[in-house]
Amino acid sequence: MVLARMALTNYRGFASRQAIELRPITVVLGRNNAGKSALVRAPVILAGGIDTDSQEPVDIDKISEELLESFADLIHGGPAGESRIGVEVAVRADGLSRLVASIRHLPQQHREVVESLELFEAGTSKGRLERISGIPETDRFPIYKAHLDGRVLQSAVEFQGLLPHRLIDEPVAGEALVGVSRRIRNNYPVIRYLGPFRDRPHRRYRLPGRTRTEVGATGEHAAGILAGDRAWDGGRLIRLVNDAMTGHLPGWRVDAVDRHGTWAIVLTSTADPSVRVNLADTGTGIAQMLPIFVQRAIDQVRPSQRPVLEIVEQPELHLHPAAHAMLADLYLEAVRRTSTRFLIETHSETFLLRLRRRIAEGSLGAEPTTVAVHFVDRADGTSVVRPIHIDADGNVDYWPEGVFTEDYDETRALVRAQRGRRVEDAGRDRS
Amino acid sequence: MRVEIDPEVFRTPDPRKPDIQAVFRLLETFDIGRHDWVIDPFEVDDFAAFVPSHFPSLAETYASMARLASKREAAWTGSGRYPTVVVDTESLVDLAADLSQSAVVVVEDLPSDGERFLGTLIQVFGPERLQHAYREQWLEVVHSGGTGRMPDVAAAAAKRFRRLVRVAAFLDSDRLTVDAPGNTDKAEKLAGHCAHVHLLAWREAENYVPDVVLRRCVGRATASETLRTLNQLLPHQRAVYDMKNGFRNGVPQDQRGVFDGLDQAALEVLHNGFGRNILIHLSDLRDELTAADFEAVDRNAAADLRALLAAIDRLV
Repeated sequence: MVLARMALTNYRGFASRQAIELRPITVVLGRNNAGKSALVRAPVILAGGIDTDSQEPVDIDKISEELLESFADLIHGGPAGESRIGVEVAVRADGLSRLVASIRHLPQQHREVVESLELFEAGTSKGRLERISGIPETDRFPIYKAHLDGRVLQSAVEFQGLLPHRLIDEPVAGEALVGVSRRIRNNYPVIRYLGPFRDRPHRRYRLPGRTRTEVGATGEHAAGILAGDRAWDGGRLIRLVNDAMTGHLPGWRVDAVDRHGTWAIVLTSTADPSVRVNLADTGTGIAQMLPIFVQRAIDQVRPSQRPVLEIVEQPELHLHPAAHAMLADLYLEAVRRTSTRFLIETHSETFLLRLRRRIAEGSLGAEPTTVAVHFVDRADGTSVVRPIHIDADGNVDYWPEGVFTEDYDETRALVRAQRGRRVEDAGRDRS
Repeated sequence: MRVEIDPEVFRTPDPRKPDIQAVFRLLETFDIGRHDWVIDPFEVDDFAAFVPSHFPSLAETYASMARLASKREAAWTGSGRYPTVVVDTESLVDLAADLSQSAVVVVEDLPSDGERFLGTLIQVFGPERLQHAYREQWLEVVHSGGTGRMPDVAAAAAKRFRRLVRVAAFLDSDRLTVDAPGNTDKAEKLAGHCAHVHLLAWREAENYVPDVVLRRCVGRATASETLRTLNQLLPHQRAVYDMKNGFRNGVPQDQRGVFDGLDQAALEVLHNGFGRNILIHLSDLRDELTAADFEAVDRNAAADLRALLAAIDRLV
């Protein structure tokens, strides 16, 4: 049960259709402002159209305002341009179920509507709907021309998000179509999102009112989760976090300490446990990576009942390059041990090199099919996505010029400058 | 080009002065970005041991450059890369000379085929390294003044090179039907002097020009209708239509089978063609063009242009 592929057309900075295949670890690279974030956040938007009972094609209430202000913002060139967005989603359970839809923005009504939709099961179309324009909607349900099993019918359709829930006038003929809807909804993963900006550590935390299983978009729940773990569960999560961080935090262990009713997250010296440093007094790097480790520990202790796609933007931010490689291993371990898959936006060459190295080594369960890499670039004023394939030797089939070779280019320029100075000096010597 | 210096060059005790100078010339081509330095990470130490004796003041920076070049090669170069030129002790001086001079592209007519057509293609399609080479004049375009003299011009260009002939040529096919041989015989004569000869698949450079340019080539009043009719041509017709002269002299005998299906109205609209200044307008509008404009003419035709550029890129 995984999100196997998604494609978007006329979405954000992407004018033409861009399709990406998702694997256990999908890495998205690109220069600043190329469109990486828009791409990795797309599953959140799609979840707003799949994991919902709203009649709107995209349930905006399901999406954080930090990620989306209005549907019109998703349209390439804004609402003044082409007012449709093309959406494709393929989920794999026993077979592949696929949705292809066009969502139209209606600026006057401040609403959106599914303009057309086709659902496929194992590559075979199970029905196609085309919204009939100019015909008044019956009650609150739009009318569609339905191509079902070789017949062309007409029916009002009740949608739940992007997916047809009921063909009101043709319930029997629409059963196959609605069946695919159900399979897509049931198999679409739970989407988690961890953004690039992490919650600043506080000196004190209250115990949370309930046991959380997600650290939140900024990791804001990580500290409370650790406090709850120490208070109620004997520090099981904390042990796992410390086990995973061994080697990256030498001489220290993370802990949660009761401070008369409020809790502090501290680093305790392994040499002298009386030496404790509040997390608020440590460097940014630890606070930055703690939510990532806490989430991994939660997934081990309380695995999700449904498959999860975890979107992480720049996990490496504020971390030393050596820790980037460690993160890559952490994610490889996670896909081996849990049903969580990852969609990761990164600028880290060390992160990608470690993934490639593990594939070449065949270690940590890494194979070429474990990792998908996509490079987002700008061409002719629009964003495009290019897949980069990794073979069993860890080699890439294509690499964009100048990316991760900036140090080489700078050193070449340094040589040029030094060579130029030698020539000038030689000239001065002669005179 | 991708250039590798055999590590034996660095291991040779007491190298000759011309060899040291040749290494320095090659290093210069790497640091200015003319060629890509292919160096194995395990050979960097040989190089690092070589440079202090011969380029003491730049030794440290050169060694850093070698280390980063090896990382680039090992980690950040796609496997679909171009072949590598290997420079060994025996070929060192000759190849350093060949690689330090501009590659040559022979065309029939310099302003039209060279500056206007090829210059626009490089600007629009890239890749970036070819654009850089064009700006830096590491790519020299020479012309023959006619297809008949192209082999002589190519032969003269080839003589500039001691071992590695970095000469390419491209020419119109002048085909009247897509399966006609056109200038295949001329291309074959050129092939003896060039590393690559590209015979355009379509009739002439003008056939590849996008609508946005062609619109400038005809009167405003008739532009829309002319372009609409042109776009109704099937690819095998568009490929061989006389873009400059249209059907002013009627449909040539050899093309009767090609344009048989075209109705009289279309023949009349396309009667005058787009004139002789198509490539001038192409060049004038190069800043406004994108690869998508060429793709819109025909995807296979655009692929033909990309193949031409890739062949030149391999030599530069």
